Amino acid sequence: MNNAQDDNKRKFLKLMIEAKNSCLQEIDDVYTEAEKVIDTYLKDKKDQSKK
Amino acid sequence: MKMRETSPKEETEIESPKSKLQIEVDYFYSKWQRKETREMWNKLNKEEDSLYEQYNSKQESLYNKFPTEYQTMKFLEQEKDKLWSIFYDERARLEEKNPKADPLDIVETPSLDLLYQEYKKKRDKYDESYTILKHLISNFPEEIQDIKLTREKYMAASDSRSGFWEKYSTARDNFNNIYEEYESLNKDWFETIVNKFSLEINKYRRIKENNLKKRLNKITNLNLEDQEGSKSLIAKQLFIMEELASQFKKWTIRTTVLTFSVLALSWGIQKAKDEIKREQVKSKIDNLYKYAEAAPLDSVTEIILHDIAQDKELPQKWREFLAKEDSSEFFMNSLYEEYKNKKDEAMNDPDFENKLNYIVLLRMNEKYGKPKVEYGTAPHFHDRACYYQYANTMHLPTYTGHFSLSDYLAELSHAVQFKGPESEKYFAWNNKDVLKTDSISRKEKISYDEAQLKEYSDTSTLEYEAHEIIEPKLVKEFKKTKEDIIDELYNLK
Repeated sequence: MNNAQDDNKRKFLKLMIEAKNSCLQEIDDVYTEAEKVIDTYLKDKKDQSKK
Repeated sequence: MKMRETSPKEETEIESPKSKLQIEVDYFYSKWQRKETREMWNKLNKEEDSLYEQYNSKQESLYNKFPTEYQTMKFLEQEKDKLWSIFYDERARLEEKNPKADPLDIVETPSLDLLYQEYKKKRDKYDESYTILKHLISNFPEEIQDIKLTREKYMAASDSRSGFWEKYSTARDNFNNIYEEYESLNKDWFETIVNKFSLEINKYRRIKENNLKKRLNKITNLNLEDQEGSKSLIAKQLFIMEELASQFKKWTIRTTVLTFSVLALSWGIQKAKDEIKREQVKSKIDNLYKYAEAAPLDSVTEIILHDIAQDKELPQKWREFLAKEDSSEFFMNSLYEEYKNKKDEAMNDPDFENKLNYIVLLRMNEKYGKPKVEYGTAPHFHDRACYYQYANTMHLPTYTGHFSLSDYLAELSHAVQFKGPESEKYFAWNNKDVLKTDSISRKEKISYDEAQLKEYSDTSTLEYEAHEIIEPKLVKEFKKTKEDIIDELYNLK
């Protein structure tokens, strides 16, 4: 029983660490993408106003 | 862009707490849950049973030396017992009928007294026959002595069996108490871990989000400076934000941008110096902003938070493990364990019905993107259930004091829209509905909530599709899934 519970805890912890890592990675990806989108948007606007 | 200082992959494992309780739990299992213990228990039971049989058969063979008298006594014994049970049932019936009456008065009821007199007559006859038989067998003192000894042995065996049981059950009760504490310790441990990670993630997200907000703020302010006082300003701000939002695939950014679009609206209204409108929109924005803050980051986080949210509703014995990969299957197994081979009993058990509903809910929840369920209405919808797509959360009102299945299914229909394969379409569609409702509320001088009620009857809106087209299908699916589970449980298919 105890071993099974410890196993469960380890599994849970592993899942949590994976989840956290994937979250942090996703935050990086998402905000990098956002910055790029804004850059492109502003650049396009600037180009349009120049024309 | 500056990268994070520590890599997420460097996280080390945290040791689970080893406690004194755990050692005691180990002790119980090593002492009582061993093969030898079970064998001892079986041995004691067997001894008791065999001695009881010996005693019984010896007594019977002695009585059978006088078959007529013995049969008479047995017959009278049955008759007496029959009358006693009739009397007993009648008394129970009368007591149930007059719950406040004194039990002594009930016994004195004439009809009941009559039954008791009949029983008493039969009992006296039985006693008489037993005395006769006893007198007859007294001529066999050796056999009587043997029976007496066997009986004593049987009683001793019975005592040692029940003594063993008492020791075992005391140990088991102690163990159960300890185990409960141990379980609560585990629960705390799970929660601590989840909270720790959630905090870390949110902190990191906030830093990133603030940077993005600063940039968006700059863009908006620039535009405000350019066109201050212009009537087309609000429309233009919303256009920019919507245009930007449509280019983002991730919800997190959408939330930020859409929140900003509402903020832009707010600023525009402040410029227009309409105090009442400004206050109305401001409170709406505050609420939306709160929700945007609560938006989860990715599907993995959602699943974890979902499990935590669900945990409040779980029966105690189902709280074993928060991170079950397939929770409906887990509960399905416990349901199967509890009700297999007991179909008739299950069908009449309200508890079975509840558990069944719970499994159906979980299955559907898992199927349609695992929306979180929060009890209590959202701040700006005072008595209505609602679904907030950015946080994939439904808010169910608790005014009835119970979980409302119809509210749940109504809001699940939005999860079907936003978590389905065409979710992109629905986010864009929702933006349009929000703008439309906003313009109706301003044009007709009614509150946003009032204007939103019109969406339910407008066939072009997302609300109409959810409640008039998807919701009836979900209700049907709920019934069908329930039947399927019963079939699955009793192998009817």
